[in-house]
Amino acid sequence: MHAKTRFLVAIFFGIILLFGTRGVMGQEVKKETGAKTEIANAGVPVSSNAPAAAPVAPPSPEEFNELKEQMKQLRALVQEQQAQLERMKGPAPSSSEGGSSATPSTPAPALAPPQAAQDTVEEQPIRPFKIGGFANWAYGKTNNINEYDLGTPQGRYDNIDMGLILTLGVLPSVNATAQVSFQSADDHTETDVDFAFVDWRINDKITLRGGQVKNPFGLYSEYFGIGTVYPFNDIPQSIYGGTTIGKEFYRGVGVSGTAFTTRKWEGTYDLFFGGLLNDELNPTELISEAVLNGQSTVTIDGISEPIRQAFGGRLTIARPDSGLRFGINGHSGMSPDKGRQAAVGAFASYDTAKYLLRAEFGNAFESGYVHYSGAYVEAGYKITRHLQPVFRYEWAREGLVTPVVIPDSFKSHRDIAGGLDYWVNPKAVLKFSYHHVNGNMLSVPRGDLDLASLFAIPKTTDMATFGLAFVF
Amino acid sequence: MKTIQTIKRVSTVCAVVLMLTLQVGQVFAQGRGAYKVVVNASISISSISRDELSRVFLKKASKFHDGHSATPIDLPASSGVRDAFSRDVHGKPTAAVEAYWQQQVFSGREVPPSEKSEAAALDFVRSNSNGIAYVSPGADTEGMKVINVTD
Repeated sequence: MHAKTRFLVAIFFGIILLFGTRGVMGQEVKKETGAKTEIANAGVPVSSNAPAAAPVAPPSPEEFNELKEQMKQLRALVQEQQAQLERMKGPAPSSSEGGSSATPSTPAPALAPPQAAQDTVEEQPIRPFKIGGFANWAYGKTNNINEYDLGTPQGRYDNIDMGLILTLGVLPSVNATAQVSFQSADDHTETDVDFAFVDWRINDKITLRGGQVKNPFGLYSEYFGIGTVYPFNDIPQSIYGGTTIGKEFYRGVGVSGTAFTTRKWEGTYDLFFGGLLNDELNPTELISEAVLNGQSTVTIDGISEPIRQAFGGRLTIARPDSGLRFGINGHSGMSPDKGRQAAVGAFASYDTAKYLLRAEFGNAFESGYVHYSGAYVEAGYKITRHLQPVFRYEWAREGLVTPVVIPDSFKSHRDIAGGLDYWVNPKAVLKFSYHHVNGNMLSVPRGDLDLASLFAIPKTTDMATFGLAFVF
Repeated sequence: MKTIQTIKRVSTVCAVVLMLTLQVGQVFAQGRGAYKVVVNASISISSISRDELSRVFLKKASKFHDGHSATPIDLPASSGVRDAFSRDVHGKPTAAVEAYWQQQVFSGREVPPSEKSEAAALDFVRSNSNGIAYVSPGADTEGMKVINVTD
């Protein structure tokens, strides 16, 4: 009897000591009042005259009964806390392994938290941090006095575009992204901030963006200069090369996200409001103005024009597992000189590991009439992991209304191109292509042009390009 | 004579179809059995559909269907386990998934999950309450939960 009593008393004081010094999962608050120790907020009323953790004399029968009662309450407390620990660990399903299924069956005081819970306390929120980069170099040469895209009559070696993109998690759901690039062409180099913005992912359906953001238009507006995304050395000129249909970025605020998902399909959207920038190569308009102004020469070069109070968006529907994607897009804004401008388009693509099929159509409107129309279709097939023959046909038309007689070739563009890509790996590619261009809308001599020689300018141009692109 | 030839042809066609079926079945089995998906022990789900798993690893979904946040970890692109996972879950090889991430990164939309070795991925899942990864079938997943992938 005495031995049993000592054993119970020892357990009791052991538990008191243990609880008093360590607490159980922070639920007990140890209060010390003078020499007395009390466990508060644990639902166990411990008498205020409970002995301190010090050697004591064997208890009397009354004290023994009281101790027995307190032991019962403490056992109930320990069991309750073990149950709480189990709840924190979650249910232990049959597929659980290791720690989650190795719960002790005896009601021994599990005062140390389980391994997973201990480690979870130490975890830090995962914030994205990614530095990516891209680089392209291409050589292009045309077979006559016309310049087209990457090619010049003398051969242009300095088509260089390289950049760095940095994404940094500012807060768990807020990222800051910036892309700086270095471009070189025609012995002219420039360093530029292509885009810089902050996005806040509220949930999977809504992400807010603000800053200078890549324009969500068509298949390529977001990938200017990212040569591993498109099959030729440059993106299609009929939509993205001076026709003002596809623009590179917007400055303002936007919202994007997932509109819907089904088992196989998903719809995503982008909307924005702010400013745009037109990069236009418009020889017809320049020639018309020069003739009307009584000039004898005209300077053919690209024009940049800001578009204000712009809004636009894109709706994409995709079946990700099959590589199929199609959608519509558009934007509209005010040009300081020409009034309201707008562009609308539609696109479709089918990308798999072997096949590539992309097509796009767009119209740019200016003050109520169709200023440009453009379309292209391109295809590729990976014969092996490395070799990919590619093909593109593109077409564009300008609808400028002018009393000046301008050769029709200046209002139209057609490019039939074939090429061969050698993929070193998915992040590096060598490309060769040959283009046969019909029309002078986008293929013209640059610089000062004698207006009297307009009809003598070759209507067709051939161009060969060779280039490489990689990303990291 | 004609009847015998017809029977031979039909038998040949049946044999080819049977072989192809077995081959497809074998590939499917290899894909599904070549990895297992592990989550932190605190995550309550015990199974996940292939579509949801794909959306989580492509960061189109930031939470599991029970509302618990998900932080996926990828194995290196050269990993055979990753390729098996990519083909089975995303329906495309790792190279195509890498191409998808290129587009996401360079359009400034999203960055891919961190890439870690199998041991590091397991450590991450063990210590991160939102962690999810796929590992080789023989990996030691003590202290984590292996969840079933359903169609």
